[in-house]
Amino acid sequence: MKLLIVEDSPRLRQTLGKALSKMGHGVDLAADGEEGDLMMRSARYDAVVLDRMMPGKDGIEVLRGWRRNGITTPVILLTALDGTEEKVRGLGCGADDYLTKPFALEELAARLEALCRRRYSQVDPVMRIGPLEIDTAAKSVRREGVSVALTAREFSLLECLARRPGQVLSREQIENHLYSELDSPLSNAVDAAVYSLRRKITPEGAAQIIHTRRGLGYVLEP
Amino acid sequence: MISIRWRLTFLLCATIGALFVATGMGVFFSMRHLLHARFDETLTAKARALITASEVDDGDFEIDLTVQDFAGFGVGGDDYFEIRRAGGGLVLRSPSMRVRGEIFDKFEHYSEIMGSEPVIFAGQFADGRPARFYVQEVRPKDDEERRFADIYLVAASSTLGMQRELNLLATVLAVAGGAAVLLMIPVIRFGLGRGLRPLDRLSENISRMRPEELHRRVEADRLPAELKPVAAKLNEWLARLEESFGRERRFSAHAAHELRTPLAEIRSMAELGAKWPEEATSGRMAEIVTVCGELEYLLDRLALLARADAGRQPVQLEKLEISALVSATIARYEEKAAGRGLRFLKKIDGGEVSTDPFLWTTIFQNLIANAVSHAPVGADVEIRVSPEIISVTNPAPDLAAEDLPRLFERFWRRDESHTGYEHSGLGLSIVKASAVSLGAACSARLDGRGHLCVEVRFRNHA
Repeated sequence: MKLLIVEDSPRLRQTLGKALSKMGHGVDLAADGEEGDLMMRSARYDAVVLDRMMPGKDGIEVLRGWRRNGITTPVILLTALDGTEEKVRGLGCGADDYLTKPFALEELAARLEALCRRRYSQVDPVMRIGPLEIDTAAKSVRREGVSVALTAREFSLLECLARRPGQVLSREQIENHLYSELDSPLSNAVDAAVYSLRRKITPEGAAQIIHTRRGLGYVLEP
Repeated sequence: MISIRWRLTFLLCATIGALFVATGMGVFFSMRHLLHARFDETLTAKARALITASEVDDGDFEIDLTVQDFAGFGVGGDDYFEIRRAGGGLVLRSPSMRVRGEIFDKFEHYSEIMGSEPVIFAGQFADGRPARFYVQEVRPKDDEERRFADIYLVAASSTLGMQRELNLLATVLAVAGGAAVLLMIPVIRFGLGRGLRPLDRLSENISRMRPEELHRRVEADRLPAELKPVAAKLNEWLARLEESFGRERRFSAHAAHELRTPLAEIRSMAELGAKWPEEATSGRMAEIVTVCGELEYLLDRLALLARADAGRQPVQLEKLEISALVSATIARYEEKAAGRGLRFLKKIDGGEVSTDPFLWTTIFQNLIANAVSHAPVGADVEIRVSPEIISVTNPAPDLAAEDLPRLFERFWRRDESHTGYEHSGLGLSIVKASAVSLGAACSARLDGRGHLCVEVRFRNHA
C-alpha cells in the first residue's frame, strides 16, 4: 500500500514510517497539516494516518479540506484524546477510523489493511487470482496450495497488481506505491522487483501471470 | 427526619389549638361572670322584695305571703330565706324551707359578715348543693317599738342549674375546639401541600440533574418570590460546578494527551525494535530513554501541582540573596533566547529575602521559560525582580483578553497540539501553585501595547 503519515511528533512519525516500510508499504511522511496537504495533492495514496492535534492546521481541519475537495482516500485519525465526543467529532468530519494513542503497530497495520480492502470493495482478506491465493491480512501467498515465500516489498508489489487485476500499472505508479519520497530507488528497481516476484510465483513450465506491456508497464492477468 | 410540612402542621395545629383554648376560656369565664351577675341581680331583687314586704303587725314580724310566693320562696319553690335576730334566734323562714327542712348551715356562719350593707357570697346548702347567699339587715315597717331592730335576712338560691349550664358550655367549647383542631390537620396539610408544591418541584428539578447535565438551570421565573433567591443561588452554584467540571474534564483530557503521546512513541519504538532487531539501534534506545525522561519531568510537574493542591508542598524558608538566583536562572535561558533573537531587559533590585529557594526558582524559571517559548522572534522580554515582586513582560500578539482567565489553567495552550514536553501548558499553573504555596498573589494582564505581563507579588518579604 502507498501510505501517508501526517504526525507532528518526529519520533512517532519516523517510527511509524519505518515500521510500515518494513511491512512492505510505501510510506511518505508529513510533519504538519500544510505539508500533508501538499503531499496529498502530489501523490495518490491508498490510506492516510493523520494526527488529530498538530500545530497550525490540525487534523480535523486538514481532513475537512480533503473531503471538501472530493478526496476520498481512507483516513485513520490518530489521537491522544479518547473521549467519545472526540471520536464522534473525528468520524463526523470524514475519518474512516479512529485510533487512540498509544497503540500497537500491528493494530494500526491491520486497520490500514481493512480500510484498503473496503476501498477496493474487497471484504475477504484473501484475494484469489488464477492459481494465486493472496492473504493480505497474514501477508502470505500460496500458489495452488503451495506456500510461496516473498519479501515485504515483493508482497507489496504483488498486492498492488492484484488489487487492480487486468489494469496496466506504469513503472512510476508501482514505484510510488513501493517507495517513499525519501527513498531513491535505482531506475531499474521496479523491473528487478517484478523479475524477482515472477520467478518466485511461477514454477518451472507454468504460464506467467504478470505480463509486461511494452512502453506502458505491468499487468496481472491470469 | 421531620419534614417541613409536618413541622409546620404541628406548629400551626398547636398555635390554633392554643388560640381555641384561650378563646374558649374567654367565652366561658365571660359567660360565667355574666350568669353570676344576673343570678346575683335576681337574688338581690328577690331579697329586696322580701325586705320591702316586711312589716310588724300586731307586734309580729310578717312578710306578705303573696310576695313570698311570687319571689319563689313559696311552698315548692327552690329559693329560701330566714329572718333571724343578731343573736341567732329565728324570726321567720320561707315556706319552701319549711317543706325542705334545714338546708342552711348554722346561723353563726353568717353573723360574722352581717352589717348595714348587703353582702352576696357563694356557699353551699347543707345537702351539698352550691348556692349564692344574700345577707342584709332588715328594718320592718311599723316597728315603732323597735322590737325587731336587730334582725337580718338571709336569702339563698341554688346555683346548680347555672352550674349545669356552665358545664354544658364548657363541654361544647372543648368538644368544638378539639374537633376543629382535628379537622384543621388535614386542611393544614392540604394547604401546606399546595403552598409547598413549588419547593417540591424545585427539589424534583434538582434531583433529576445529573453530573453530565450541569448546563441545565433551575427555572427561577416560575418560582414564588421566597424561592427565587434560593434558585438564583443554586444556579450560581451550578454555573460554578459546570465550570469546575469543565476544567476537570479538560485537565483529564490534556493529561491523557500529554502522557499518551510519549507512551505511543515509546511503544512504537520498542515494538519496532522487537519485531525487527536490526532497528533496535543504540540511537533508538537512547530516544526511548529521552522520552522516559520527558515523561518523568512531566510527572514531576504534575506531582508538584498535586502537592500544592493538597497543601502538602513543603515550604522551607531560607535567607537568600535574589540577585544570584536571578542571574543563574537567566543564564540557563540565554542561549535559547539568543537563538530566537530575544533580548532580556532586566531590572533587578537585589536584596535578601526569606523564601523557599525551590519554589521561588520554580516561579522565576517558569516565567522566563514561558516568555522565551512564546514571545515572537526578536522581541524584548522585560524582567523585573525585587524582594517584593517577580514580573515578566513580553509581546503576546496571539493572546486575547478572553484568554487571560484560562492562562493559569493546567494544560491550557492557545495551540492545543503536542509540541514537546517544554510546552505542556503547565508552566503558568505551576507558577500560580508555587506562588500560592508561598502566600504570594499571582496575576496576568495585557497592557496597552498588547504585551503579556505575568506578575507574582510577595506579601511577607523580609
